[in-house]
Amino acid sequence: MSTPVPQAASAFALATVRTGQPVRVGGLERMSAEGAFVVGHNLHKTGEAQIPLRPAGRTVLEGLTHRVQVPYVRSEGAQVARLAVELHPSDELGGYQTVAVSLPSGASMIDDGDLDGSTLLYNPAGGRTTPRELVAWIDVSGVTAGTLTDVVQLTVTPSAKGAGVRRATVTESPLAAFAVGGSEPVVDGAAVRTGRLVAEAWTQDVFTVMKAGRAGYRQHWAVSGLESDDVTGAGSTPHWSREAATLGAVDWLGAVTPAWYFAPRALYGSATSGSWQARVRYRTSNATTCELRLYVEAGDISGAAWAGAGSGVVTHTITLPGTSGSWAWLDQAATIPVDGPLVRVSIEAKGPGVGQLLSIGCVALIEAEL
Amino acid sequence: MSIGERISAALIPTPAAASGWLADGAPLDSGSAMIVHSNLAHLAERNTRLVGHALGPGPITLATTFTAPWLASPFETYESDPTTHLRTIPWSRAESVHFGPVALSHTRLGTAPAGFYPRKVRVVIHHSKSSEAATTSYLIAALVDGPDTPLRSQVYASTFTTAVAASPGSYVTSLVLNCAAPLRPAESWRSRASGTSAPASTTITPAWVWVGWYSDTVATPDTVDAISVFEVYQ
Repeated sequence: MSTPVPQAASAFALATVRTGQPVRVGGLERMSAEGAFVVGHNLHKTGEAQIPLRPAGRTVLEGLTHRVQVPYVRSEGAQVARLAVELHPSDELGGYQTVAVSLPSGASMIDDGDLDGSTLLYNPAGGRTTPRELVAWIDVSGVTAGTLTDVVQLTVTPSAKGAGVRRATVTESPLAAFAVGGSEPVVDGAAVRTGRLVAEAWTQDVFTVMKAGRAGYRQHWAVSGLESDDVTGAGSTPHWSREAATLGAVDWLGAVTPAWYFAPRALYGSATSGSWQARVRYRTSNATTCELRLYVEAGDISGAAWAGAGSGVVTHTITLPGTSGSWAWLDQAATIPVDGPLVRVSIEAKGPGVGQLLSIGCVALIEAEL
Repeated sequence: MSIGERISAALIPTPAAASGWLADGAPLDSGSAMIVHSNLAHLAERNTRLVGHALGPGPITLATTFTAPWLASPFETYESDPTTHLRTIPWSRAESVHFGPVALSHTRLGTAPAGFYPRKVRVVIHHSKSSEAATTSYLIAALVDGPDTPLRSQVYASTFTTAVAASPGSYVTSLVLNCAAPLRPAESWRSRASGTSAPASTTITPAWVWVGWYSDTVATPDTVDAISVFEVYQ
């Protein structure tokens, strides 16, 4: 017997639960439904990778083999993830590319959507006249939930006229029903019947689901671009970068002073900061240690301006050991103040110095509620 | 505001389920039942998704946001209709970015018409307006039912704002995409692979978010520096 997963939250009232009175079947059914919604329907949408064409003077995307990183932490109820990839338009004959996908440990492709590393892909595809997404379906039921270092990586090999991937995104697919006895956290709604005793295992399941909805669900914040083996210097690199060995603005290839915003969950009220993990994908051209700083501030937007909250700016200094030309991940714990409805994130970096380069492919913050 | 009633707007800590305090044969007491109800309602409200965060293009001018894109987008149909902001731009990649999909979660109750409404989606744009005389920038956001542009998709919600040369400077603009009616499920997604369990699909309401910009500056560009898209529970 399976338990249906509703697509909406449940509207129960606490007044139906009274001290000294038996808990009614209807109340328990609503409890089951709310648990199913929390861990079965309201699943992750990960951060996206967005890769616009490079500005003039930079190494162009056409013909540039590159990789795209999308950090993904499985939530406990998820069984299937949808990978959507949008290619740059194939404006000229021969403007194609291949895309290969590397999945987290335990994941496997159900349908690779031609993202197999060998099919020549065009946008629009042959026989079509409008651009579209390429969609792959991934079985993530074997991925360990909550692993903060999982990532979906796309390796893109364009032809001389193909510009590769424009956008990549991963979305967990909501469940229609729970398979009772399966691996996901589940409350068996059908086990609650009038006149029937509620088994202690059922009660424990409710608390397990509650924990999965709290700590098994993780918000994903990510600013992700591309990484490649291109080694040109600061004036022509296709990567986000910083050359100077002083702390300052990252060369974002266009944007000058970007800052990003999101609404944190603030589960315990505004006084308790959130536990997160910062992830940085980077490369240094030599062995010089570099640095990335994340500035995080709670607050709100008022009158088209940012107004910080009382906790002020929290600075996270992330030391990036020199990688001498290799791309690497670096992970570090981060705390996020939540005493405002929004959080603002901005980034600075310190490079290796003149003639050398710190390249950045992805900066992510993944919630790490325990 | 959560749909389910809460004891307070905070998660109430509980012992782990398997720590021995839920004993065999013991009834579920009303206090614990209330805490579970409250916590699940709180999680249903607060487990919002961050839809996407991206860099903007930086400087934007008439040349980058209108003249070139219209010529470069043969698949778009221009309709000079001043009544809708969605037709201000052709939504080619030079003057827009899009995020998604996100499978909408219905966590709000509405009465006109009655039903469950999906969470609001908030778009925050970090941008600036130049002082070039008699110029205007437009920032437009739309929540739609497919990956195609707002001109060719069903638009669930849309909004826009402008900045004018009389008030130059940096701005943090917030646009809220608020569906004004319940939405029907629109797609069927795979939700379980073949294996020990039967394969399954789920009928859901996916949505994509488009963010577009337009500037008629020539000499001194406006800028769009960063775009943030996320669900909100308020």
